[in-house]
Amino acid sequence: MLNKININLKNTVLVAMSGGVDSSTTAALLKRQGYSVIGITMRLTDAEDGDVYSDRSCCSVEMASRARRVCDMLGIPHYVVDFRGAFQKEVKDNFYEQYLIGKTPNPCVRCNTYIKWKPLVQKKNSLSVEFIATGHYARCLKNNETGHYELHRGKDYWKDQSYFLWGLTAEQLSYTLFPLGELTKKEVREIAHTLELPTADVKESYEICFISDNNYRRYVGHRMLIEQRLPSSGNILTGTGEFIAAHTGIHQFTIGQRHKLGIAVGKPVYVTEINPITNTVVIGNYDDLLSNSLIAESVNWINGIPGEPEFEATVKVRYRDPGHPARLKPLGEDRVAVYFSESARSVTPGQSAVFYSGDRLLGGGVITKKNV
Amino acid sequence: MERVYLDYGASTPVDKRVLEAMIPYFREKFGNPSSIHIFGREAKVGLERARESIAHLIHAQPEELFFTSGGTEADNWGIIGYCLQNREVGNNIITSCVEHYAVLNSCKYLETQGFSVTYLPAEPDGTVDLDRLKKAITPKTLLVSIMHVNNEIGIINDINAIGAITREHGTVFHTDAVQGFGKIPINVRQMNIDLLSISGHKLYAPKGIGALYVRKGIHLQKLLHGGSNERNWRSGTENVASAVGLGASAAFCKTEMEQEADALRKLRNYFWAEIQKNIPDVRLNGALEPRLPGNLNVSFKSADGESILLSLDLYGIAASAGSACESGSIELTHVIKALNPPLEYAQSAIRFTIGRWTTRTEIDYTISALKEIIERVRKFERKT
Repeated sequence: MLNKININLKNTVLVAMSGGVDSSTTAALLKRQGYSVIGITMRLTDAEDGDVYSDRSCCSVEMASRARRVCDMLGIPHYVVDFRGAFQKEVKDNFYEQYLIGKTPNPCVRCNTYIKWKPLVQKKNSLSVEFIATGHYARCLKNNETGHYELHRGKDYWKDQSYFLWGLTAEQLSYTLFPLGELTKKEVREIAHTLELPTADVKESYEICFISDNNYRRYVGHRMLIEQRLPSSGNILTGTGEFIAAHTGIHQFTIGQRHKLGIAVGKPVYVTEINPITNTVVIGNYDDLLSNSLIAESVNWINGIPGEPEFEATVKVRYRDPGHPARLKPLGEDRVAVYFSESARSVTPGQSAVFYSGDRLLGGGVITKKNV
Repeated sequence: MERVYLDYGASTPVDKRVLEAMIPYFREKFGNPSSIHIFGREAKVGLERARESIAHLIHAQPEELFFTSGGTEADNWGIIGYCLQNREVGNNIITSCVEHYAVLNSCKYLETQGFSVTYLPAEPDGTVDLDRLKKAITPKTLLVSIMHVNNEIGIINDINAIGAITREHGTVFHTDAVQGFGKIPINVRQMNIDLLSISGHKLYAPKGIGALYVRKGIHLQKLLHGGSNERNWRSGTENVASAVGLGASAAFCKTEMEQEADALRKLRNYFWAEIQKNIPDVRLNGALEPRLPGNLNVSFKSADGESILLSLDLYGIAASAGSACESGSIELTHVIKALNPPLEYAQSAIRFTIGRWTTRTEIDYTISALKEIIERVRKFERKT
């Protein structure tokens, strides 16, 4: 139990706890390693449709109570902090606006970059705490030659969540801990069971934490209704400009989408392009989804630009993407052109392009164009 | 310093003497007060003595006092019970924006039952303006509910004057006296109070016990139906031990109240002086007087209230801000909002409530902690 924490500034850590098994085990492991741990649950959203008691929403009362129970068990303080304002502005508003212009946003990336490693870090500093920790499967390693901190994939290759952390800076990494980075998901659950953590059996959550039924179409449509913004209907065309059908709003589509197109042409077709200016959705065959290149903007290089005028890296364009070898050409401080050795499928504006050298994450950015 | 408790407004430790008075009613005098045998009668005696001692403190008759499960039930019963029972008298209720949620939400409930509610604003000093009240009363007003002492900012309303106004206009006057009972003098006869809510755990008595004073002649609809306990006004076997505790606490207050109020006021004023001396850009929420002797509610310019509270906890100091919602985070309170503070002070109203066992040493420790905390929070989390 911390009393005057300015006496014990060393070895204090703030753990972001969602009430799930990963963040709970994170807190437990850090405590065992001798850190003075403080558990924090972020209140990010209000109930949607009165759903505060849902099991999955990231700050439902149930989840916060679980986090608290774990902290009580570990004998560490637990607080709930209110970040609803920041979350609305940086995550929810961005999510909504991106869909309106035909992009497919990545709210988890935004939450990490603009919430967990911003106001939460400010909170950490206000409380005079040294480190911040999360349950991400990623590794933060110090390069002893350069003296800088680097972000690496988690040991569990399948579970690796480094993809979502491309927005972090080396400076932020210098006070960040990822205790689960060296473990597999299986090992984490085993630890949680051994420690008899009440959250050992909490199910995985893959959904959008602020949309309880995960239906982004309904969410965007609902907000458009509230804002009295009429969905603009437009055309679904083929790659050669042939009219197929009308649609009731580009916000309902994403690149690579095959279902819910509202058309039947006798064979599988996929959304290959969304044009917010002409309000058009273009469909094509499976192979039409391939891109040989992309431009990414708002690029963050964790340890600076790796090489000029160009260098090689493996690029992921989706979370569950094996990664594509590519040539990267930085265009100024925060833009980059990526040329794939072999075409990549379903490159989607709005999603993140993340660049690796082996296990090391060099940086990432938001995809703005494909097939440049 | 291990722990410093400065949140007496939220709850209080049970006074040792109160606990001693209660114990026999767990062990030997455990009977049901409604039973005819000696066990029941002994329990009943304890219950009635407690009732007398509480009634005595507010100059009421013991028959005008009913035990409840706490202040919230008393508020609910007094307001909802009175209005539903007396619909033919009128359908308008007047209350203030800065009442406790037990009062506000009882009124909100009555709005769904066809009543209209007028919410009076608070003045910048935190009180309810009497002219506004006078103007708001209509022939359809059947109840005025205005709290005696505000739980957040400790401001004391002039319930004497309010009682005069309601008496003049023939409306019934309820007051939530949860924070003031036993701490500052109340006289229901002089002050023309018709209904009054009391809570045990704010007054060194246990949680789970409260009382409602109901002036003779006033009828309430029953909220709890069942046996004929509390003269058939409120069913349910009485919480005898806790009632005895509340009664004992009231008895001690009768003799110690004035002296304790003086001591607390002095210590509170010292606290406020030290804050002003050591920390720049601070603001008192509500006027310093008339205020509950133990209450201090302060805002710190450009500092995040949540971080201040969390930091205080990490230093072992307990204070409060706003109302904790169910998930545990802090919200800007309706009371502070109603005072309309300047924007850069709005996010950091911290309530310190000192009490019976607060020492000067604890205050001094808190000042030194606060100094460090405010400096740090202002550095790392500059708000507007």
